[in-house]
Amino acid sequence: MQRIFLFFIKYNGVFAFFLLEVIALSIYFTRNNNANTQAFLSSANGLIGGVYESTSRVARYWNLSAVNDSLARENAELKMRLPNSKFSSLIQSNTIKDTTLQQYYQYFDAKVVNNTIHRPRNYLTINKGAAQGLRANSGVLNGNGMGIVGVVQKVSNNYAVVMSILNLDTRISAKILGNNNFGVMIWDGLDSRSMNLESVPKHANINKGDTIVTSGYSTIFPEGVLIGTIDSFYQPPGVNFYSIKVALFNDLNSTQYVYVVSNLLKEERLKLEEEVIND
Amino acid sequence: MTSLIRANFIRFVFLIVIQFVLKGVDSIDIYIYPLFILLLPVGMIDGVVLLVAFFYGLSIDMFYDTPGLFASASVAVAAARPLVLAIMEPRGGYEPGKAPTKYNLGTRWFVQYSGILMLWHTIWVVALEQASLFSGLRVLIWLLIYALSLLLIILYQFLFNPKE
Repeated sequence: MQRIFLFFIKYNGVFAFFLLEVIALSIYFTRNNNANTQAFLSSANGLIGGVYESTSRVARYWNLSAVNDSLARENAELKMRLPNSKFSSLIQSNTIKDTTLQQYYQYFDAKVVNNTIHRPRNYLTINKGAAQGLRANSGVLNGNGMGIVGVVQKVSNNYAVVMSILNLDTRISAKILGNNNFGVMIWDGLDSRSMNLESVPKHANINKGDTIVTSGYSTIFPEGVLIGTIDSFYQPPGVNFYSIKVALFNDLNSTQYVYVVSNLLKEERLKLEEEVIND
Repeated sequence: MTSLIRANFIRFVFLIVIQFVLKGVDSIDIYIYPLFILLLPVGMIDGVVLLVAFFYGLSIDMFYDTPGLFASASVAVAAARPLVLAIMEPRGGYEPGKAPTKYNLGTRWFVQYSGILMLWHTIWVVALEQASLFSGLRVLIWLLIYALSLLLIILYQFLFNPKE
Protein backbone atom coordinates (compact mmCIF):
# COMPACT_ATOMS: atom_id res chain seq x y z
CA MET A 1 0.00 0.00 0.00
CA GLN A 2 2.75 2.39 0.98
CA ARG A 3 4.56 1.66 -2.25
CA ILE A 4 1.48 2.58 -4.25
CA PHE A 5 1.27 5.84 -2.30
CA LEU A 6 4.94 6.60 -2.97
CA PHE A 7 4.41 5.75 -6.61
CA PHE A 8 1.65 8.35 -6.84
CA ILE A 9 3.88 10.96 -5.21
CA LYS A 10 6.81 10.17 -7.45
CA TYR A 11 4.76 10.42 -10.63
CA ASN A 12 2.52 13.28 -9.46
CA GLY A 13 3.30 15.11 -12.72
CA VAL A 14 1.96 12.29 -14.87
CA PHE A 15 -1.25 12.02 -12.90
CA ALA A 16 -1.73 15.78 -12.72
CA PHE A 17 -1.20 15.89 -16.49
CA PHE A 18 -3.88 13.31 -17.25
CA LEU A 19 -6.33 14.73 -14.72
CA LEU A 20 -5.96 18.33 -15.90
CA GLU A 21 -6.02 17.41 -19.60
CA VAL A 22 -9.21 15.41 -19.11
CA ILE A 23 -10.77 18.42 -17.37
CA ALA A 24 -9.54 20.94 -19.96
CA LEU A 25 -10.46 18.83 -22.99
CA SER A 26 -13.88 17.99 -21.59
CA ILE A 27 -14.52 21.72 -21.13
CA TYR A 28 -13.28 22.34 -24.66
CA PHE A 29 -15.23 19.60 -26.40
CA THR A 30 -18.48 20.18 -24.55
CA ARG A 31 -18.32 23.97 -24.84
CA ASN A 32 -21.44 24.15 -26.98
CA ASN A 33 -23.65 21.99 -24.78
CA ASN A 34 -22.59 22.91 -21.27
CA ALA A 35 -24.25 26.10 -20.07
CA ASN A 36 -22.28 26.47 -16.84
CA THR A 37 -18.74 26.23 -18.20
CA GLN A 38 -19.49 28.55 -21.05
CA ALA A 39 -21.25 31.22 -19.09
CA PHE A 40 -18.33 31.22 -16.65
CA LEU A 41 -15.54 31.18 -19.19
CA SER A 42 -16.86 33.17 -22.10
CA SER A 43 -16.88 36.91 -22.35
CA ALA A 44 -20.50 36.91 -21.30
CA ASN A 45 -18.70 36.80 -17.96
CA GLY A 46 -19.20 40.31 -16.56
CA LEU A 47 -15.55 41.12 -15.87
CA ILE A 48 -14.23 40.22 -19.31
CA GLY A 49 -17.26 41.80 -20.95
CA GLY A 50 -16.46 45.02 -19.08
CA VAL A 51 -12.85 44.96 -20.26
CA TYR A 52 -14.00 44.52 -23.84
CA GLU A 53 -16.58 47.28 -23.48
CA SER A 54 -13.97 49.79 -22.32
CA THR A 55 -11.38 48.86 -24.96
CA SER A 56 -14.12 49.00 -27.55
CA ARG A 57 -14.98 52.50 -26.30
CA VAL A 58 -11.44 53.65 -27.13
CA ALA A 59 -11.56 51.93 -30.50
CA ARG A 60 -14.94 53.51 -31.16
CA TYR A 61 -13.40 56.97 -30.87
CA TRP A 62 -10.85 56.20 -33.58
CA ASN A 63 -13.51 54.62 -35.76
CA LEU A 64 -15.96 57.52 -35.61
CA SER A 65 -15.71 58.42 -39.27
CA ALA A 66 -16.16 54.82 -40.37
CA VAL A 67 -19.14 54.51 -38.03
CA ASN A 68 -20.60 57.67 -39.53
CA ASP A 69 -20.35 56.18 -42.98
CA SER A 70 -21.98 52.95 -41.95
CA LEU A 71 -24.79 54.81 -40.16
CA ALA A 72 -25.37 57.00 -43.18
CA ARG A 73 -25.53 53.92 -45.36
CA GLU A 74 -27.96 52.31 -42.95
CA ASN A 75 -30.08 55.49 -42.92
CA ALA A 76 -30.24 55.44 -46.69
CA GLU A 77 -31.19 51.81 -46.59
CA LEU A 78 -34.01 52.52 -44.15
CA LYS A 79 -35.21 55.57 -46.07
CA MET A 80 -35.61 53.41 -49.11
CA ARG A 81 -38.05 51.30 -47.15
CA LEU A 82 -40.33 54.22 -46.23
CA PRO A 83 -43.69 53.92 -47.93
CA ASN A 84 -43.24 57.26 -49.69
CA SER A 85 -40.02 56.14 -51.33
CA LYS A 86 -41.76 53.22 -52.98
CA PHE A 87 -43.76 53.38 -56.14
CA SER A 88 -46.97 51.46 -55.74
CA SER A 89 -47.91 49.37 -58.74
CA LEU A 90 -51.04 48.21 -56.97
CA ILE A 91 -54.17 49.26 -58.81
CA GLN A 92 -56.78 48.48 -56.25
CA SER A 93 -56.45 47.69 -52.60
CA ASN A 94 -58.68 47.03 -49.66
CA THR A 95 -57.74 48.04 -46.16
CA ILE A 96 -58.83 45.55 -43.57
CA LYS A 97 -58.29 46.13 -39.89
CA ASP A 98 -56.86 42.83 -38.87
CA THR A 99 -57.19 41.82 -35.24
CA THR A 100 -56.04 38.28 -35.87
CA LEU A 101 -52.42 39.23 -36.48
CA GLN A 102 -50.16 38.52 -33.56
CA GLN A 103 -46.59 39.73 -33.06
CA TYR A 104 -44.40 36.83 -34.20
CA TYR A 105 -40.82 38.16 -34.21
CA GLN A 106 -39.30 40.69 -31.88
CA TYR A 107 -36.24 42.76 -32.85
CA PHE A 108 -33.54 44.26 -30.64
CA ASP A 109 -30.68 46.43 -31.78
CA ALA A 110 -27.21 45.82 -30.33
CA LYS A 111 -23.62 46.85 -30.81
CA VAL A 112 -20.75 44.44 -31.37
CA VAL A 113 -18.13 44.85 -28.63
CA ASN A 114 -15.90 41.92 -29.56
CA ASN A 115 -15.49 40.00 -32.78
CA THR A 116 -13.06 37.64 -34.50
CA ILE A 117 -13.15 36.23 -38.01
CA HIS A 118 -9.88 34.35 -38.44
CA ARG A 119 -10.26 31.50 -35.99
CA PRO A 120 -11.88 28.18 -36.97
CA ARG A 121 -14.59 28.89 -34.40
CA ASN A 122 -15.45 32.56 -34.20
CA TYR A 123 -17.69 34.26 -31.69
CA LEU A 124 -18.96 37.83 -31.24
CA THR A 125 -19.93 39.60 -28.04
CA ILE A 126 -22.78 42.12 -28.17
CA ASN A 127 -23.76 44.68 -25.56
CA LYS A 128 -27.33 43.56 -24.86
CA GLY A 129 -28.28 40.69 -22.59
CA ALA A 130 -30.99 39.01 -20.55
CA ALA A 131 -31.85 42.29 -18.79
CA GLN A 132 -32.83 43.76 -22.19
CA GLY A 133 -34.87 40.69 -23.06
CA LEU A 134 -32.41 38.70 -25.17
CA ARG A 135 -32.54 34.93 -25.02
CA ALA A 136 -30.25 32.16 -26.19
CA ASN A 137 -30.87 30.69 -29.66
CA SER A 138 -32.04 33.98 -31.16
CA GLY A 139 -30.89 34.90 -34.65
CA VAL A 140 -28.55 37.85 -35.21
CA LEU A 141 -28.95 39.87 -38.41
CA ASN A 142 -26.63 42.42 -39.97
CA GLY A 143 -27.48 46.03 -39.15
CA ASN A 144 -28.26 47.05 -42.73
CA GLY A 145 -30.60 44.16 -43.41
CA MET A 146 -28.25 42.39 -45.82
CA GLY A 147 -26.88 39.17 -44.43
CA ILE A 148 -26.91 37.22 -41.20
CA VAL A 149 -24.33 37.35 -38.43
CA GLY A 150 -24.91 34.36 -36.18
CA VAL A 151 -26.92 32.80 -33.39
CA VAL A 152 -26.98 33.93 -29.74
CA GLN A 153 -25.23 31.23 -27.76
CA LYS A 154 -25.27 32.46 -24.16
CA VAL A 155 -26.59 35.55 -22.42
CA SER A 156 -25.55 37.21 -19.17
CA ASN A 157 -27.31 40.24 -17.71
CA ASN A 158 -25.89 42.81 -20.10
CA TYR A 159 -23.93 40.85 -22.69
CA ALA A 160 -24.56 38.04 -25.08
CA VAL A 161 -22.09 35.80 -26.89
CA VAL A 162 -23.02 35.08 -30.50
CA MET A 163 -21.76 32.08 -32.42
CA SER A 164 -20.66 33.70 -35.67
CA ILE A 165 -21.71 32.16 -38.98
CA LEU A 166 -17.93 31.90 -39.46
CA ASN A 167 -17.79 28.92 -37.10
CA LEU A 168 -17.17 25.29 -38.01
CA ASP A 169 -20.12 24.30 -35.79
CA THR A 170 -22.60 26.62 -37.50
CA ARG A 171 -25.60 24.99 -39.23
CA ILE A 172 -28.19 27.35 -40.71
CA SER A 173 -31.19 26.22 -42.69
CA ALA A 174 -31.35 28.15 -45.98
CA LYS A 175 -33.15 27.96 -49.31
CA ILE A 176 -32.73 29.16 -52.85
CA LEU A 177 -35.01 32.10 -53.56
CA GLY A 178 -37.36 31.24 -56.41
CA ASN A 179 -37.45 27.45 -56.38
CA ASN A 180 -37.48 26.95 -52.58
CA ASN A 181 -35.03 24.04 -52.55
CA PHE A 182 -33.53 24.08 -49.10
CA GLY A 183 -30.20 23.01 -47.63
CA VAL A 184 -27.83 23.71 -44.79
CA MET A 185 -25.34 26.58 -44.68
CA ILE A 186 -21.97 25.61 -43.23
CA TRP A 187 -18.59 27.31 -43.10
CA ASP A 188 -15.39 25.56 -44.17
CA GLY A 189 -13.15 27.66 -41.93
CA LEU A 190 -11.22 29.27 -44.78
CA ASP A 191 -12.79 32.33 -46.39
CA SER A 192 -14.60 34.90 -44.26
CA ARG A 193 -16.61 36.14 -47.25
CA SER A 194 -18.18 32.85 -48.31
CA MET A 195 -20.04 29.85 -46.92
CA ASN A 196 -21.18 26.54 -48.41
CA LEU A 197 -24.74 25.41 -48.98
CA GLU A 198 -24.96 21.63 -48.61
CA SER A 199 -27.71 19.02 -49.01
CA VAL A 200 -29.43 20.61 -52.02
CA PRO A 201 -30.57 17.62 -54.13
CA LYS A 202 -29.19 17.24 -57.66
CA HIS A 203 -32.60 17.49 -59.31
CA ALA A 204 -32.89 21.11 -58.20
CA ASN A 205 -32.42 23.71 -60.90
CA ILE A 206 -29.84 26.20 -59.74
CA ASN A 207 -27.87 28.93 -61.46
CA LYS A 208 -24.89 31.08 -60.66
CA GLY A 209 -26.08 34.31 -59.05
CA ASP A 210 -29.21 32.85 -57.45
CA THR A 211 -30.07 34.49 -54.13
CA ILE A 212 -29.90 32.43 -50.93
CA VAL A 213 -32.25 33.32 -48.08
CA THR A 214 -33.06 31.77 -44.70
CA SER A 215 -35.68 29.04 -44.94
CA GLY A 216 -37.67 29.75 -41.78
CA TYR A 217 -37.70 26.03 -41.00
CA SER A 218 -35.72 26.56 -37.82
CA THR A 219 -37.09 28.67 -35.00
CA ILE A 220 -34.03 30.94 -35.12
CA PHE A 221 -34.34 33.11 -38.23
CA PRO A 222 -37.48 34.44 -39.89
CA GLU A 223 -38.08 33.28 -43.43
CA GLY A 224 -36.50 35.19 -46.29
CA VAL A 225 -33.56 36.98 -44.65
CA LEU A 226 -30.97 37.63 -47.37
CA ILE A 227 -27.73 35.65 -46.93
CA GLY A 228 -25.80 35.80 -50.21
CA THR A 229 -25.64 34.74 -53.83
CA ILE A 230 -24.41 31.55 -55.47
CA ASP A 231 -20.80 32.06 -56.45
CA SER A 232 -20.12 28.64 -57.93
CA PHE A 233 -21.42 25.08 -57.66
CA TYR A 234 -20.52 21.57 -58.76
CA GLN A 235 -21.81 18.02 -58.43
CA PRO A 236 -19.41 15.87 -56.43
CA PRO A 237 -19.29 12.37 -57.98
CA GLY A 238 -21.15 9.67 -56.09
CA VAL A 239 -23.19 12.05 -53.99
CA ASN A 240 -26.78 13.02 -54.56
CA PHE A 241 -26.26 16.61 -53.54
CA TYR A 242 -24.78 19.76 -54.99
CA SER A 243 -21.83 21.47 -53.35
CA ILE A 244 -22.60 25.18 -53.58
CA LYS A 245 -20.33 28.07 -52.70
CA VAL A 246 -22.25 31.12 -51.52
CA ALA A 247 -20.74 34.65 -51.55
CA LEU A 248 -22.03 36.44 -48.45
CA PHE A 249 -23.67 39.86 -48.71
CA ASN A 250 -22.10 41.10 -45.50
CA ASP A 251 -18.49 41.43 -44.36
CA LEU A 252 -18.33 40.05 -40.82
CA ASN A 253 -15.07 41.91 -40.26
CA SER A 254 -16.74 45.31 -40.37
CA THR A 255 -19.95 44.44 -38.56
CA GLN A 256 -20.70 47.03 -35.87
CA TYR A 257 -24.44 47.16 -35.38
CA VAL A 258 -26.70 44.13 -35.43
CA TYR A 259 -30.32 43.22 -34.88
CA VAL A 260 -31.25 40.31 -32.66
CA VAL A 261 -34.48 38.63 -33.67
CA SER A 262 -36.32 36.37 -31.31
CA ASN A 263 -39.23 34.15 -32.18
CA LEU A 264 -42.06 34.73 -29.73
CA LEU A 265 -43.82 31.45 -30.49
CA LYS A 266 -40.69 29.30 -30.35
CA GLU A 267 -41.51 27.47 -27.12
CA GLU A 268 -44.95 26.49 -28.32
CA ARG A 269 -43.61 25.12 -31.59
CA LEU A 270 -40.66 23.24 -30.09
CA LYS A 271 -42.89 21.72 -27.42
CA LEU A 272 -45.31 20.46 -30.03
CA GLU A 273 -42.53 19.02 -32.21
CA GLU A 274 -40.94 17.35 -29.22
CA GLU A 275 -44.21 15.73 -28.20
CA VAL A 276 -44.51 14.09 -31.58
CA ILE A 277 -40.93 12.81 -31.50
CA ASN A 278 -41.37 11.43 -28.00
CA ASP A 279 -44.62 9.64 -28.80
CA MET B 1 12.28 33.19 -2.66
CA THR B 2 9.78 36.04 -2.29
CA SER B 3 11.43 37.93 -5.14
CA LEU B 4 11.03 34.80 -7.32
CA ILE B 5 7.31 34.62 -6.52
CA ARG B 6 6.91 38.34 -7.11
CA ALA B 7 8.71 38.18 -10.47
CA ASN B 8 6.50 35.31 -11.60
CA PHE B 9 3.33 37.00 -10.41
CA ILE B 10 4.18 40.20 -12.30
CA ARG B 11 5.02 38.10 -15.38
CA PHE B 12 1.67 36.30 -15.02
CA VAL B 13 -0.29 39.57 -15.21
CA PHE B 14 2.00 41.29 -17.72
CA LEU B 15 1.90 38.43 -20.26
CA ILE B 16 -1.90 38.19 -20.07
CA VAL B 17 -2.06 41.93 -20.86
CA ILE B 18 0.35 41.57 -23.82
CA GLN B 19 -1.57 38.54 -25.07
CA PHE B 20 -4.78 40.58 -24.88
CA VAL B 21 -3.16 43.32 -26.99
CA LEU B 22 -1.90 40.71 -29.50
CA LYS B 23 -5.44 39.36 -29.79
CA GLY B 24 -6.33 42.67 -31.46
CA VAL B 25 -4.01 41.84 -34.39
CA ASP B 26 -6.26 40.85 -37.22
CA SER B 27 -6.05 37.70 -39.32
CA ILE B 28 -3.27 35.93 -37.39
CA ASP B 29 -2.81 34.58 -33.87
CA ILE B 30 0.51 35.30 -32.19
CA TYR B 31 1.13 33.70 -28.80
CA ILE B 32 3.40 35.05 -26.10
CA TYR B 33 1.56 33.73 -23.05
CA PRO B 34 3.40 30.32 -22.85
CA LEU B 35 6.56 32.25 -21.87
CA PHE B 36 5.23 32.31 -18.31
CA ILE B 37 5.23 28.51 -18.16
CA LEU B 38 8.62 28.32 -19.88
CA LEU B 39 10.19 30.57 -17.25
CA LEU B 40 8.83 28.91 -14.09
CA PRO B 41 11.78 27.93 -11.87
CA VAL B 42 13.60 24.65 -12.51
CA GLY B 43 12.96 22.03 -9.84
CA MET B 44 9.40 23.08 -9.05
CA ILE B 45 7.19 20.06 -8.29
CA ASP B 46 5.70 18.85 -11.58
CA GLY B 47 2.16 18.66 -10.24
CA VAL B 48 2.32 22.28 -9.05
CA VAL B 49 3.68 23.51 -12.41
CA LEU B 50 0.82 21.73 -14.18
CA LEU B 51 -1.80 23.14 -11.81
CA VAL B 52 -0.47 26.70 -12.21
CA ALA B 53 -0.35 26.25 -16.00
CA PHE B 54 -3.93 24.98 -16.02
CA PHE B 55 -5.34 28.05 -14.25
CA TYR B 56 -3.10 30.35 -16.28
CA GLY B 57 -4.49 28.81 -19.49
CA LEU B 58 -8.05 29.17 -18.20
CA SER B 59 -7.54 32.92 -17.75
CA ILE B 60 -6.27 33.17 -21.34
CA ASP B 61 -9.33 31.18 -22.43
CA MET B 62 -11.64 33.75 -20.84
CA PHE B 63 -10.34 36.42 -23.21
CA TYR B 64 -10.35 34.21 -26.28
CA ASP B 65 -13.82 32.70 -25.71
CA THR B 66 -12.26 29.26 -26.15
CA PRO B 67 -13.10 27.43 -22.92
CA GLY B 68 -10.51 24.70 -22.36
CA LEU B 69 -8.38 25.22 -25.49
CA PHE B 70 -5.50 27.19 -24.00
CA ALA B 71 -5.92 25.48 -20.63
CA SER B 72 -5.17 22.15 -22.30
CA ALA B 73 -2.35 23.66 -24.39
CA SER B 74 -0.76 25.18 -21.26
CA VAL B 75 -0.95 21.85 -19.45
CA ALA B 76 0.58 20.14 -22.49
CA VAL B 77 3.49 22.62 -22.52
CA ALA B 78 3.95 22.28 -18.76
CA ALA B 79 4.02 18.49 -19.08
CA ALA B 80 6.62 18.56 -21.86
CA ARG B 81 8.78 21.07 -19.99
CA PRO B 82 10.56 18.68 -17.58
CA LEU B 83 11.31 16.30 -20.47
CA VAL B 84 12.88 19.08 -22.56
CA LEU B 85 14.75 20.38 -19.50
CA ALA B 86 16.14 16.89 -18.88
CA ILE B 87 17.27 16.48 -22.50
CA MET B 88 18.91 19.90 -22.56
CA GLU B 89 20.52 19.74 -19.12
CA PRO B 90 23.87 21.58 -19.33
CA ARG B 91 27.08 20.03 -17.99
CA GLY B 92 27.01 20.49 -14.25
CA GLY B 93 23.22 20.54 -14.10
CA TYR B 94 20.81 23.35 -13.31
CA GLU B 95 20.95 25.53 -10.26
CA PRO B 96 17.81 24.49 -8.39
CA GLY B 97 15.21 27.21 -7.99
CA LYS B 98 16.62 29.36 -10.80
CA ALA B 99 14.41 30.34 -13.72
CA PRO B 100 15.57 28.90 -17.09
CA THR B 101 16.14 32.31 -18.70
CA LYS B 102 18.50 33.50 -21.38
CA TYR B 103 20.37 35.39 -18.63
CA ASN B 104 21.03 32.18 -16.66
CA LEU B 105 21.63 29.68 -19.46
CA GLY B 106 22.62 31.61 -22.56
CA THR B 107 20.96 32.64 -25.82
CA ARG B 108 21.64 29.43 -27.75
CA TRP B 109 20.20 27.26 -25.00
CA PHE B 110 17.11 29.42 -24.59
CA VAL B 111 16.32 29.59 -28.33
CA GLN B 112 16.45 25.78 -28.57
CA TYR B 113 14.42 25.33 -25.38
CA SER B 114 11.66 27.77 -26.35
CA GLY B 115 11.78 26.55 -29.97
CA ILE B 116 10.94 22.99 -29.00
CA LEU B 117 8.22 23.91 -26.52
CA MET B 118 6.53 26.51 -28.74
CA LEU B 119 6.49 24.03 -31.63
CA TRP B 120 4.74 21.56 -29.33
CA HIS B 121 2.32 24.29 -28.24
CA THR B 122 1.49 25.20 -31.86
CA ILE B 123 0.93 21.56 -32.83
CA TRP B 124 -1.37 21.10 -29.86
CA VAL B 125 -3.46 24.23 -30.50
CA VAL B 126 -3.79 23.67 -34.26
CA ALA B 127 -4.68 19.99 -33.82
CA LEU B 128 -7.39 20.84 -31.29
CA GLU B 129 -8.86 23.69 -33.32
CA GLN B 130 -9.11 21.45 -36.38
CA ALA B 131 -10.41 18.50 -34.39
CA SER B 132 -13.91 18.75 -35.84
CA LEU B 133 -13.15 15.43 -37.55
CA PHE B 134 -13.45 13.73 -34.22
CA SER B 135 -16.65 14.45 -32.42
CA GLY B 136 -15.66 15.86 -29.05
CA LEU B 137 -16.94 13.17 -26.74
CA ARG B 138 -15.28 10.38 -28.68
CA VAL B 139 -11.80 11.87 -28.20
CA LEU B 140 -12.55 12.29 -24.54
CA ILE B 141 -13.61 8.69 -24.22
CA TRP B 142 -10.41 7.53 -25.98
CA LEU B 143 -8.34 9.56 -23.57
CA LEU B 144 -10.25 8.19 -20.59
CA ILE B 145 -9.90 4.62 -21.85
CA TYR B 146 -6.18 5.15 -22.33
CA ALA B 147 -5.64 6.76 -18.92
CA LEU B 148 -7.68 4.18 -17.02
CA SER B 149 -6.13 1.19 -18.83
CA LEU B 150 -2.65 2.50 -18.16
CA LEU B 151 -3.48 3.05 -14.49
CA LEU B 152 -4.77 -0.53 -14.16
CA ILE B 153 -1.72 -2.00 -15.90
CA ILE B 154 0.65 -0.15 -13.58
CA LEU B 155 -1.38 -0.95 -10.45
CA TYR B 156 -1.28 -4.63 -11.46
CA GLN B 157 2.52 -4.49 -11.32
CA PHE B 158 2.36 -3.09 -7.80
CA LEU B 159 -0.27 -5.48 -6.48
CA PHE B 160 1.16 -8.76 -7.82
CA ASN B 161 4.72 -7.64 -8.58
CA PRO B 162 5.33 -10.56 -11.00
CA LYS B 163 8.96 -11.66 -11.39
CA GLU B 164 8.55 -13.37 -14.72
